Amino acid sequence: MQETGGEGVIPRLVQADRKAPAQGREATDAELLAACSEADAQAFAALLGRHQMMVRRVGWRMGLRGADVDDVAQETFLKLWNNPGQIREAAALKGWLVRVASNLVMDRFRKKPMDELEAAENVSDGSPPADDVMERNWAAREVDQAIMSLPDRQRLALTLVHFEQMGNIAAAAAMDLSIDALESLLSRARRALKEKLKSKAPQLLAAVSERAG
Amino acid sequence: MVEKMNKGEMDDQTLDQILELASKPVLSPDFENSVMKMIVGEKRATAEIVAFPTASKPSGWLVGLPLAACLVLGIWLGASGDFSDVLTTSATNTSMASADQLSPSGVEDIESLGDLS
Repeated sequence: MQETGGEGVIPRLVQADRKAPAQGREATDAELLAACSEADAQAFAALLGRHQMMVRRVGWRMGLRGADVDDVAQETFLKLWNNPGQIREAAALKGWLVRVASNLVMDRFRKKPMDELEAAENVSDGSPPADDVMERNWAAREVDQAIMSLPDRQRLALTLVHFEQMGNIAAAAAMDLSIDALESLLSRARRALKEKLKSKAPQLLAAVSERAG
Repeated sequence: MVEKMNKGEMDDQTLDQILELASKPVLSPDFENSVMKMIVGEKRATAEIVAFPTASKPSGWLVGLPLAACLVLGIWLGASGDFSDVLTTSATNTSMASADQLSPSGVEDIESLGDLS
C-alpha cells in the first residue's frame, strides 16, 4: 500500500499525476482503476473524490438519511477497493457504483423499515422556521413524499435520469435493464408523480415562481 | 399552465419544474477522510487469500515417453496381425479348452422351478 501524503488522511494523487504528466490532464478512471488493482491508495482516493458525491446522492434520493447514506457509500467504495478487477471497463465504473449502492439501499430497506429510517431525518433543531422557509419546506416535503411513494426501481430510474442527469443508455446499463425497460419505468414514474402532485400543483407552481423570483 | 392544471393535466415541463422543488441532499463533509482512514487501516481482502502451492510439473518429454512407448507397442502389435505371438500356445489351448467345457448354467434350475408349480 502506498504511503499517505501529509495533508490529512487523503493522500495527494502523486501516482495518478505521474501517469499523465505531459499533457497536464487528469488521470482517467481506467488509469486509476489499474492503479487501484495494485493497491494504490492514492489512485483510490482520486476515484473516491470523483464519484463519492454521486453515490451518496443516489443513496439519499433512494430514501436513506443521515449516517445510513455514508454507511452505504462506504460499503460501496470498500467493495471497489477490495476488488477493483471486477470492473472490466472503466466506462462501466459509474454504473457499477450505482448498482452496488442501490442494491445495498434495497437490502437496508428490507432489514430496516422505511419509517425507522425517516424518523432519523425528522428531528427538529428547535428553531422556529420563517414563513417562506416553511412554504419551501412544505413544497419540498410534498415533492419528496411523492418521489418516495414510487416503487424502488421507478425511484431509482427517476433519480439517475432526472436528478443525476445520466443518459438513458448509461442509466439502463447501471440498472442492468434494456433501454425500453428503463423508459417504461421512467414513464410510469412520471405518470404516477403527475397523478400524485396534480391536486397540489397550483401551490407547488407558486412555490416554483417564488423560488425563481 | 395553471389552467391546464385545473383541467387535471400536467405536462412534462411542469413536472420537471416541480421536481426541482425536491429537497437537496444533505451530506456530511468528512466522508472521504473516513473512507480513506478505513482503507489505510484495512488489509485488502484479497491479500488474505492463501495460494495453494503449485505442484511441480514434469517436463514435456517425460509425459511423452509413456505415450510414445504405447504408440510403438501398438504399431508392433498391429503389424503382426494377431496376438498369438504374444500369448503362449499353452495359454491359448487352456483358454479354448475351458471354453469348450462351459455349459449353460441355470437352465436346469428353471425346469426344476417349473416342476414346483
